[in-house]
Amino acid sequence: MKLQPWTLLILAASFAFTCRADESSALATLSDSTTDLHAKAMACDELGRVGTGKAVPPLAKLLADVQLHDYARDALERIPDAGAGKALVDALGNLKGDLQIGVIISLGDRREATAVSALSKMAGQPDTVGASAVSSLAKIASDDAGKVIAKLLSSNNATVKTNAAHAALKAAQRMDKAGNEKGAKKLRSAVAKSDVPAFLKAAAK
Amino acid sequence: MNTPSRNTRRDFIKKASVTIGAPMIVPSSVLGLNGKVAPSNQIVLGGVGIGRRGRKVLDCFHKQPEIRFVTTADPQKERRESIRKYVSKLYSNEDCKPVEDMYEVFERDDIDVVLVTTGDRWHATASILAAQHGKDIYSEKPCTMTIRESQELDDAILRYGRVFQAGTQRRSVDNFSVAANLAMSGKLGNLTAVYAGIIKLEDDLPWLPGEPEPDKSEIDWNRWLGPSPWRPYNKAYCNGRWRGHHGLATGYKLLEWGSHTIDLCQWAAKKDGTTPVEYEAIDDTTVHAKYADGLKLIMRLAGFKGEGDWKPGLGSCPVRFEGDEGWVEAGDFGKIEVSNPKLLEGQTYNPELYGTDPIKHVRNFIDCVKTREKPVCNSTVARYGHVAGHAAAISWKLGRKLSFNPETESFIKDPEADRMRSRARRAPWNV
Repeated sequence: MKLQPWTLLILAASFAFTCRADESSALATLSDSTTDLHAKAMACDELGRVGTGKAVPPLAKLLADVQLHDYARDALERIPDAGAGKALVDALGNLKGDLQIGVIISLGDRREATAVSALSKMAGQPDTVGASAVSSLAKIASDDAGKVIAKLLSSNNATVKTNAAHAALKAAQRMDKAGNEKGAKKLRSAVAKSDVPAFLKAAAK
Repeated sequence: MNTPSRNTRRDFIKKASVTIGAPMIVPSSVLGLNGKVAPSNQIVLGGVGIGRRGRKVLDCFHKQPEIRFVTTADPQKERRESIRKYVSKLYSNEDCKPVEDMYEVFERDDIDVVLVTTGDRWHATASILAAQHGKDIYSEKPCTMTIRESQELDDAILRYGRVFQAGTQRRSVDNFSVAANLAMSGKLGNLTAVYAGIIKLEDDLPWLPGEPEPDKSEIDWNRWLGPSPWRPYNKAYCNGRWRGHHGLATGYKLLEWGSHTIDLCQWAAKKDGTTPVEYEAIDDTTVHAKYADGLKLIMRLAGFKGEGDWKPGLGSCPVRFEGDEGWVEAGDFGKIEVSNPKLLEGQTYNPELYGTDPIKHVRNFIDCVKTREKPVCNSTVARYGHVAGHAAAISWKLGRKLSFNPETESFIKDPEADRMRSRARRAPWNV
C-alpha cells in the first residue's frame, strides 16, 4: 500500500513528538495523588532529562519513598541545577540503609564537590556506607577528596584500607584524565606503599 | 599482572608436596601427561547468571582443555539447580555447589575467570565487580546499559589490568572475518558506507502487574533486579520477559543485534577507537550515522524473518560493507554475498560456523588470559561500539538529529541528550 504524503507527515510528527519530555507535565504527574507508581517513575525519568531547579523539591521528597527513591535520585543526579546537589547532601543525614547508600552513590556519580566534607565523615566506616562514601570521593576526584582517600590508606582497619586502595586507583585514573598527573601519581604511590592485597599494589604501578 | 589466585595455582603441586610430605605418587594427569592439563596450568572458571545463552557459552568453555568450571551464582533456585545438574554430569562428581550471591564467586581465590551471562542489567556491574576482585571476564552483550557504563567498564578493566572479552562473538566467526577483511584490505575500494542489521526499535513497555514476592531462597527479587531501579515483582521478568523494559534492557532494542553488528562495522571501517559524530533516526527501523571522515554507518531493520533490504538467505545479524569498487554482505548462516565473485578468490572460511557460535571467541579469550594480551573484543573495542549504539538509540528516543564528540563522549549542544548518557544504579550496588 502506498502511503499518502499527509499520512507520512502525521507518522513523522507522532514519531518525533511522542518522545518529547516536558517539565510542567512531569511535575503535575508527581503531584497528582491519583496517578500510579509507574507514571510517577516515568515522570522522574523525564525530569532527569529536562528538569530544572523547580523539580528539585518534589524529587527530594521522594528520596525517602522506598518505591520511587531510585527514580528520584536518578533525576537529581542528572539535573545540573546546584539545588539538586544540595538536596542530595541534605538527605544524607535523614536516610538510613540502602536509601542513604543510594544518595551517597548519586553524589559520586554527580561529581558533587560540595559533598566532600559530608562523605569524608562516612568514608572511614568499615561497612557498605564507608565503601560507598570512599568510592564516591574517588569519583569526585578533587584534590580534597584525594587527601581523604590517601589518609584512609593508613587506617588500622583492613577493610577500610582495601576500600581506600580501590578508591585511590579510581581517583588517580580520573585525575589523569583531568590533567592532574601530580595528584594521580601521589595516590598511586600511596597505594604501592600501603599494606593492601598484592593485585591492588600491582595495579598502582 | 600477578593475582593471588594465579600464584596459588602455580604453587599447587609444590604446596601439595609440602603438605602431604614426600615421597608421594603423583598421578600422570596432575603432571599434565595423557593429554590432560596439569592443575597448575588450569584456568578455573566461575559463572554469574548462567541461563540458556550462558549454557551455550559455557559449553564452549568446557571444550577448552585448560578450563575447569567450579560454580555459578544465580538468584533463581531453578537456574542454580539446572547448572548444578549439568556440571555434575560433565565432571561425574557433585563438587559444583551454586550460590545465590555473586560476591561468593568473586571472593573465591581459586577462580581466575568469570563468565557473566545475566540479563543486560547486570552485565557491566558484575563485570566491574569481578575486575575489582582480580578476575578476568567474558561478558555477554550488550555489555553496558548506558554510555557512562561503557566508560566505567573500560576504565575498570584498564585500571585493574584485567582481560575482558565482550560476547560479540561474530568478530571471531569466519564469514564475518572474511567480509571485514575485504573492507579493511581495500579490495572494495574506498569505503562509502557500512550497514548494521538491527531489529525494530520499540519504546519502554509498562511495568508488568505486581505479584507477591516469592521466598528469597526461590527467587531473590532484590538480587535479580540488582542495579536496576525498583519495580514490583512479576515472575515473567525472571522467565525472560525483561526484554523491552527500559532499566532491565537497554537501547530500545537497538543494541540487541546492534551491539554485534555495529561492532563488526566499526571493525571493518577501522574505527575501533572512535564513534560516529552524527546520528539521525529516520524511523523505527533505520538510524543513519556518520563518522568524522564522512563514512556512513546505516543501522537498518533486519528481522528474524528476513525483513529489510538485505540479500536473502544470509540469516540474522547481517552486515554490509560498501566501497566504491564493490560490496560484501554476511549474516549468521555462515554465507557471504559479494558484488563480484573474484573478491572471494583465495578466501577460505568455514560456512558451517554460524554467527551465534562463540567457540572461536572463547578460545581467543582463553589464549589472552594466558598471554595477558587484549582479546579481539576487549573492553575498549566494546566501549566505542556500545557508545555508538547507545547514541543511536538516544537519537531515536528524542526523534532528532544529534551531534556527538567521540573525544569527550558527549553530545554537542543538546543537554537533554547528554543527560540520557547515564542512569543511577540502585543501592547498594556501586562500582
